[in-house]
Amino acid sequence: METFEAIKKRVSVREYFDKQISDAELEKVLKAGMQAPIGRGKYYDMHITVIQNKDFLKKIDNLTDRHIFYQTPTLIIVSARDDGHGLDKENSACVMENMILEATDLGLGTVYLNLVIGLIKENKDVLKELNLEDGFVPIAALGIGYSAKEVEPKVHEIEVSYIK
Amino acid sequence: METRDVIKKRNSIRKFKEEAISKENIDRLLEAAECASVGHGYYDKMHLTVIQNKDVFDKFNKVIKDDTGKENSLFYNAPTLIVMSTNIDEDLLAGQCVGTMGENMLLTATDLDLGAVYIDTFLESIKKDEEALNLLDLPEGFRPIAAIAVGYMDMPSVPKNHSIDVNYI
Repeated sequence: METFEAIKKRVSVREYFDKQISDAELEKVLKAGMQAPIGRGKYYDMHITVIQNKDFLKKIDNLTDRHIFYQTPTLIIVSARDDGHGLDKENSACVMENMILEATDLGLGTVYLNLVIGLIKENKDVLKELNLEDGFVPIAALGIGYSAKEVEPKVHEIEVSYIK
Repeated sequence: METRDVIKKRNSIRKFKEEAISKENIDRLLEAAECASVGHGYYDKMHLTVIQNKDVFDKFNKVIKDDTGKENSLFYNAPTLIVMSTNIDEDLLAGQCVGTMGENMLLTATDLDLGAVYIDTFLESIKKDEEALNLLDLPEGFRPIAAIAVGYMDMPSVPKNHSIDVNYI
């Protein structure tokens, strides 16, 4: 797909089929994430966790009574180590956006999740199971799977000012 | 260009020709930013500032030099800067919303065969200088987080392969 088409087609999908994505699709999505710009080239300060284990997904889903990741069959957590410049959030978001656009290109559905990160950080038991290296903190989460619902892209507007 | 090719091709360009990019290209970059994933749909809490003014760039370079002692422009003397600002209080969300907008613009720049780089260090100096910060003329309560420097490349584009550790559960 043309890049701009993928950018325009990207939507948040909140209904998924109970069918796992293929390893080949997952691999492409992860590779796209790795090509994101990371401040000062510190790719070693980033970490990706792929969760596909049903019991563990259920455990995360049970952290609250809402379906916080819409029961996607795959949950990808992006974690980062802050080097003191506070770029961990922006770096993680660039990894996320690349994965989302690649997934969109592959015809997969995705949803950028915020709430799930807070809940995982609060639950030491779940956090421990992520088995992150010292200093790494979960920043962003991506739900990914086959969309069970067509979602029309929305047109968003951001205010722009010009200094010429 | 195919999405996958653009994602692979994107790399930081830090040397630009003086000629500014066209209005059409800028509109395309801004449209890409507006398509980014922004948490809670907070598009109204984001702001973009397109700067193409030499006096503003000179002032920025002076402020940067006074603050850091660095002679080199920390925005690489790009002819166009797009500053991304927000009034989202929570840093965790603010940074992520800016990051996705930035990446969409970088990929679009690559697709348009333009050079671009994601920058934030220069803003540290700008934020410390009230006069320089006021030049951005941001709406009340907004703060700049990062920027994209963009222009015609004056250095070769050399894509690299990067790797991030992955574990599977």
